[in-house]
Amino acid sequence: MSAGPPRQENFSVFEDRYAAPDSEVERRIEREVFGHSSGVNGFATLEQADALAAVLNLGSGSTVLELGAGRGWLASHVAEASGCRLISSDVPTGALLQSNERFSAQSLMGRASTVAADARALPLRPEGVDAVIHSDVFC
Amino acid sequence: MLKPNGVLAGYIIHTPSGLTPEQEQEAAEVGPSAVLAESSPVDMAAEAGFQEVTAEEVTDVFLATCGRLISVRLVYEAQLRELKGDQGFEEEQSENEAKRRGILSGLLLRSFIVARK
Repeated sequence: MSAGPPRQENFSVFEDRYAAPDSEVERRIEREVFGHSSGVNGFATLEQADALAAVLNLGSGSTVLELGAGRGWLASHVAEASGCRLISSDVPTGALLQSNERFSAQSLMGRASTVAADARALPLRPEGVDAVIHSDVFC
Repeated sequence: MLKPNGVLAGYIIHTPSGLTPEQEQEAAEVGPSAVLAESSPVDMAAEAGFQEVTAEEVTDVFLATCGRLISVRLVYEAQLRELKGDQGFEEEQSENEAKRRGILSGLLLRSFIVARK
């Protein structure tokens, strides 16, 4: 949780990071380090993603929102585990485009959406989601 | 946007309380760009009106993951240098090593925070 607003240079860093999909060698490293190769944007391991999904207790009628989602792996992991709908939000458009490719590949498109917005000004209706998740975003 | 009784859950990299200004400066240098905060993640969630706020510190896994990232990247060093260039590889490796030093010196913590609206 930052004490101040995100700096503009941080947005640029993340725009650059998500400008292209991970290479094969980066995916191999992710698999060996984190237990999955999903376009990592934090330090959450597969076991930690499972722990997070477990505390949410979501079902097919629920909606989860991931803030600072990057390529959307955490929300897609929760959605696959629970059957819930998901909203993946972040600022870099490259990340969101890659999220959509992921959701399509995981057959989640019918219950997944992406939102390009700062987490402090999300264009979502009040009281519309059952859970909000994040990993290494508020730091 | 969260429904009443909805859950906020996630992992946060943060600093311990009581750091000196010099330690805060060091934490900001070795940690994520906005690691410094005015209060703990639990206090901030509570101040924001969340209930049943719980925190599980997972710094040990953070340290292990960070160390594994550094060593596995060295296994694939040649491919990464080809992909990112020498400077790009070395900058990323230095960032991870700095982060690991920050964890080992107690400046950086990582916690799993769960709260209910």
